[in-house]
Amino acid sequence: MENRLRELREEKGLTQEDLAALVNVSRQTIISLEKGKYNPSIVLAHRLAQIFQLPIETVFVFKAGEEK
Amino acid sequence: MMNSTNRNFLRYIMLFLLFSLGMWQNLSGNSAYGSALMGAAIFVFIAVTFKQRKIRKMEAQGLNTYDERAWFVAGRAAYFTYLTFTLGSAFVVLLGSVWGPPVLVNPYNLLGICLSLLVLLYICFYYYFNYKM
Repeated sequence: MENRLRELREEKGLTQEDLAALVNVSRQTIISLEKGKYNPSIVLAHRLAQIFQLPIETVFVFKAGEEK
Repeated sequence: MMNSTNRNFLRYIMLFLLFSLGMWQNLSGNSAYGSALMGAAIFVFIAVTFKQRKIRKMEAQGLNTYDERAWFVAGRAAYFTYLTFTLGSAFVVLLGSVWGPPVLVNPYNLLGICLSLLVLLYICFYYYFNYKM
């Protein structure tokens, strides 16, 4: 699943560590999310979307067929 | 679920028991086993203390070291450990039953080897998936 985390984080002037602390995860999780190597739970995706004050689907781009 | 203070307390008690067992074995004349046990207990104590210090530092910064990704990686590692161990054991049992010579085995040694293998497999898979993700 693609996402705009890095772009949005940099727009807000946050470091990976800042964002991790805001959503209560490790920095490694933010790195994995930004690289698209890990898909977050709905709770984490919601928390991240809340930080950027955007809908989840704007932060995380889900494409058909990715669930396979 | 047990909190981290209780978990640490139990971990240190266990290490103390292992160290005491090692000391007792040393005094009983089984110095190789005793020294190995004491050395292992000291090594684990130092490693755990450093790891806990790092975790506390991260927690003070508001980071969660046991977040959902860590559980996801742990779950994956556990599944692959189970799979590898089960298939590996089945293969050895199958081959051993047909072609292997009958061997007398000390059950405690065998259990110890199996346990070490399981832990080693789990650690390897954990680091592998943590690196890949």
